Amino acid sequence: MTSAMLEIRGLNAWYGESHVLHGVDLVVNEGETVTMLGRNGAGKTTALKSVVGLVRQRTGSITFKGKDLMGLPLHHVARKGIGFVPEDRGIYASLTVLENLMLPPQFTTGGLSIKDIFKLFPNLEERKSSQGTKLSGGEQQMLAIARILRTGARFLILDEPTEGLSPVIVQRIGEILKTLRDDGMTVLLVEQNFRFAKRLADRFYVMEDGLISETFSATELDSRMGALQTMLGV
Amino acid sequence: MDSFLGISYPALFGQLMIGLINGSFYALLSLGLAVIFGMLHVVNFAHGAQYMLGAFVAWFLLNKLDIGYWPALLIAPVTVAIFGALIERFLLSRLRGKDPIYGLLLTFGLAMTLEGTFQYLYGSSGRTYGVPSALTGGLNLGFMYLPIYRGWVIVASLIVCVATWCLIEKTKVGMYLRAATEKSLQTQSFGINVPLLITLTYAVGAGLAAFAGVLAAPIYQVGALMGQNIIIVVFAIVVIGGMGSIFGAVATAYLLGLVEAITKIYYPQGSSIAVFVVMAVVLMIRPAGLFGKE
Repeated sequence: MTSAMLEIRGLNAWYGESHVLHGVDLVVNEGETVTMLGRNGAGKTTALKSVVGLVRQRTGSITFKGKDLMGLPLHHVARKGIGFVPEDRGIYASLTVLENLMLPPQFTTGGLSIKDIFKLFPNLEERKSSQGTKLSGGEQQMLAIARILRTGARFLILDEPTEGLSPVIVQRIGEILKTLRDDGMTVLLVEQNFRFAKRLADRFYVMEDGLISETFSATELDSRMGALQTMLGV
Repeated sequence: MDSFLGISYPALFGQLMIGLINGSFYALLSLGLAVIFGMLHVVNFAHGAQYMLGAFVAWFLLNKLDIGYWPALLIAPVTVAIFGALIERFLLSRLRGKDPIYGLLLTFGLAMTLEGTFQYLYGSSGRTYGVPSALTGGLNLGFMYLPIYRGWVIVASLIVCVATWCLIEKTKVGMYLRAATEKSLQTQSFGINVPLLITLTYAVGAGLAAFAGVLAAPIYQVGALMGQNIIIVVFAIVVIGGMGSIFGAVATAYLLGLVEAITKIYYPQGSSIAVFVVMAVVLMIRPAGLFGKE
């Protein structure tokens, strides 16, 4: 019996006057990898940012392991064990690679040690003294994932981790996410590249105009491929 | 040969020493301003008033509680830092996310209020604060006479500037500070209490100003408007160094202290505007400042 780790009900969100989310319902169960698909501007990133608290103008309900997240200050959300990898990777130019890795505090046990991280991402060890933003796009993405794995977070939120990366790096990131999933990590992924997502996800949500328009399991993906390609404009 | 370009060595080194002493005060004040601007994006116009408060707290401690210079060097900055923390928590924090001009106006109003209150209570004339007995007298260096207290001011300023740099560059708190300066919301989303960090930063900046005030008390007179005289120069220094650049602010402070001194030797009438001439030239050539990011 799987239990809901993240539960979103009737989520509305705004940027100033602009109403972006119109009542999103979404559930991610423990140990699942869930992918949110949708065109650019559908509201996927806003939904993720609303979960971690980066979008504050929101109504509805967001619970994590049964506890309300809506009323928490921004810096209390990560302390619940939620790790967020933003679309722009969020690497700090003023910090070295090692400092970027060490920045997020560890709030729970079970995070990877720096030694384990360097074993998983050997490139980062070679460049640990370099300025964070001097890394290639792929290395920055790995750094963004690695720093969250160090915190011990067991719920990973990834916003378009393959965007703008070469096929070799995309494949490597896919392998790492597969390893994490097999290790019991719960993942909520936003991805436009659903060929990448289909190898990882247990379930899919499709978002259109700030609403979830459909949801289906990985086994149903092949039968829906044509409709999805048309809808996503692939 | 006992002169350089017509100026005797004792006079030359004497002026350069004054330049270094002024540079030391500029460095401490611009360091605090740069730290506050980098993190809060607030041009802290109350900085001069916080410098004045530091000097006044030292004066009160000595004259009302018989607490001398050395304890005052710690008590005054801590007192003003707590006052700064309250200002940030209850006033400046309400302006977060708004146009920086509001922060500037608020701190300008605070400076006016504080300086006006002290002027009303204690008048405009300065009050003397004696040099601590351990630092009286001077050293004859052969080429010049060095008053020990003035030498101490340079050393103390250098120690505090290096310590602040180490705090920012070499410690975990400093790492959080640099990260929050660059991406405030994202840093907070990692679980770091950025609002607390902002309050502490403002408190430390105010404390640095107060530390400079205590150092200044035995050299300049303790007066309600002592901050007004120095703060405009310090703003110019922070602009020349590059807004928000901590290293830039400190290096430029010492450099411009010396520029002022050299101007005083060769063209005394121009010494009070030398810093502003340099500022105008730097802004024309490099608008982001000497050490700022373009």
